[in-house]
Amino acid sequence: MEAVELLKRYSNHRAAAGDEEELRAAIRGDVKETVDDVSVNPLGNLTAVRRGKDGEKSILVTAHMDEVAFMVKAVEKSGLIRMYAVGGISPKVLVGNQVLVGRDRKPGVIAYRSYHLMTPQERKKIPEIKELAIDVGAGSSEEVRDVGPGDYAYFMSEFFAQGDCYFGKAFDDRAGCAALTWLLGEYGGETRPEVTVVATYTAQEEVGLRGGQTAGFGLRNVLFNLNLEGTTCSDRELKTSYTPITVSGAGPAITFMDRTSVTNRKLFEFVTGVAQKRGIPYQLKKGVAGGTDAGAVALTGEGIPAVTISLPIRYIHAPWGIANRSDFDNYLALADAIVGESPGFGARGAKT
Amino acid sequence: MFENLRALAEKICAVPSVSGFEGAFADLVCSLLEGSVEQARRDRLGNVIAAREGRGGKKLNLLFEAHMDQIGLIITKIEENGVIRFSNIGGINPLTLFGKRVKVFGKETFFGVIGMKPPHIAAEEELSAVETLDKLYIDAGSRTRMESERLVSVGDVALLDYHSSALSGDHFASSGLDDKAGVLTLLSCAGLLGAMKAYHDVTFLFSVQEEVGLRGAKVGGYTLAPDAAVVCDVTFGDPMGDSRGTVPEIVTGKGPAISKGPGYYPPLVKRLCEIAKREDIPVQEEIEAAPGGTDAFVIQTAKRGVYTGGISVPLRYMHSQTEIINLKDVYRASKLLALLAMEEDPLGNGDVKGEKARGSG
Repeated sequence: MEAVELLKRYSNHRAAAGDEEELRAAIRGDVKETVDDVSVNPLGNLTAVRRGKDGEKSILVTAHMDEVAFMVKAVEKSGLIRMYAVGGISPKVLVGNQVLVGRDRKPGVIAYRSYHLMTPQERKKIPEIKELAIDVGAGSSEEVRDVGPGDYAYFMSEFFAQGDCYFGKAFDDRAGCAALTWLLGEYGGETRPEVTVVATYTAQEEVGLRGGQTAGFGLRNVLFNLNLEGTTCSDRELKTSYTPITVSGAGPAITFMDRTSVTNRKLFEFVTGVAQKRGIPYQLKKGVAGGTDAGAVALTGEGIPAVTISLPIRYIHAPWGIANRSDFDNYLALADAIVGESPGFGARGAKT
Repeated sequence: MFENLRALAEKICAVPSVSGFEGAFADLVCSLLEGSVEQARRDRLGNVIAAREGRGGKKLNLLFEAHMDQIGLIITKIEENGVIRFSNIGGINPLTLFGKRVKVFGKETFFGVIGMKPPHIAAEEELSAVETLDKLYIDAGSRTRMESERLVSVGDVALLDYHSSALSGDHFASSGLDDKAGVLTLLSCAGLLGAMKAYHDVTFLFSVQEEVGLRGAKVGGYTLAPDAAVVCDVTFGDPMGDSRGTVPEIVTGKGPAISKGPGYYPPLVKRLCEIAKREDIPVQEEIEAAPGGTDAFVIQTAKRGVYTGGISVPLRYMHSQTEIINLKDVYRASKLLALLAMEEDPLGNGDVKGEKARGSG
């Protein structure tokens, strides 16, 4: 399937930490014909294995399924629904959003009082999430019996392409999920990878790399972990003294360090070397903010070298992100090249 | 219930009507009025004026009014790197802008995002700051000024993007329901009257530029100088109320609110309440101690003065892109207006001929 079609479908799916089932089912349907084995672990990670020509060695390729969203805290007497954030969402981007809440995906809005009714002090501050509510048009809690504490609510945004860009929600990390499924498709049918590809779509990354902590468990002879992500892109600042973390249109970003990992230096050099050798544009992620599953995988068992490559996304963790078309193409190309060249990375070469 | 009204609401909410840019919406209103009024025309400001003749011997000229325009954004500048600067038309709440998608009506219609730094890299002060509009920008994905200029010109308008959604219990969410709820009420009233001949002449005024200073109604009120008028706008029905607790207990779904206060002619207010009671139409009260918030303010003072009343559709989250009304309230308001047009003595003061309203000259 076309990778952009996967990105569109996956980003439109609704899956937050602990509620990945809708996306997991879609991914399972997409990969089951092209791989040798599919399984789900107790945390909800979906692992698809495509055995390589070399029966021993393998690489672990990961992407996380969950997006930032909301969880229902309580339904008030008035019918207003109070909520928590699941993952890092700034309350600043919430007032006036349309959301879908509960199992029936009931439409609602993120409400805060009318501007006219706000005091001058209230107008000067961003309300906290606990001051906001989801309004589904009910007059009382009686009308909202089908929504209860623990239910999830999601941004309503739907994917679209415009000019050089893709717009939508949850590109962090549906970009990675789409790339991973596309990659498995490349090795389907008669084609087999050189080394076994263990493709793990992880659960609960946004609440502390929880699926990632179990992704590497029990694997033998893993050359390394390639983690496919979406990352911050802050290239719209007009100040010339500012260095953006990533620049949209400059290619996929390779991480040398972030909040949860310092990339194994040999692996880092291997990955940048592959990009250079294949002539794939790339950039380094110039900032150490954020953490990824690579940090959790790296500490699994006796340790697994792990590297993250990311699609730059403007306005991540908000209802609308923007990704660049050529960045996505080069992101796929780089992931494919790394998997293709992986036998060149020595199994024990990581011990530096 | 109310499927027809909902379909109509979806139709009118799909066409933008930013203050000063109501043209396409006015066309839609005219086409929707076909068959239920004798004629619909446009005045020099862009107001839509539609008239129906009554059958009564001592008929008055009644004016029912709602404003067509909605708040929006206007493009002010395009930066070197392609991002698009904007300002507000009408009372935009900055809180509703951050991180949202906007629809820009430029050389073509396209989308952009009012981008915000994500929590990973934004400083605490940035996350809690309510920036003024001049600090914000629309990102449509273009990388140079030239690329953006192919899409948009300074002076084009934009709206915060939205979906119309049917919500619980005949509630309906969309953008610009202030005052498309009023427009919907008048269209519904025209439909109700369509089948019958009312006692009085009824003129519908769909006005422009209310949100930027009650402008259309000022001219429309002057031109039409009716015997009596009822202005149909929206009022606060926020379930959260305000933090001071001073807002009256108006809620959505419990009927339109009849306005009371110095801006409204007491006998006409009383008449509206009596009709509601007689016909078993639930209504609420809206107290406006100081006039000035709606078109009623300028219609009341048109020429020698107009007997004016007000009916408001309760609305949640005014001036956000996700305003919520209840369609039952719209239907009830339109029924009340239609019944008023049937009353021989709508001013409730025995002034059947409207002598007091017309005076001698």
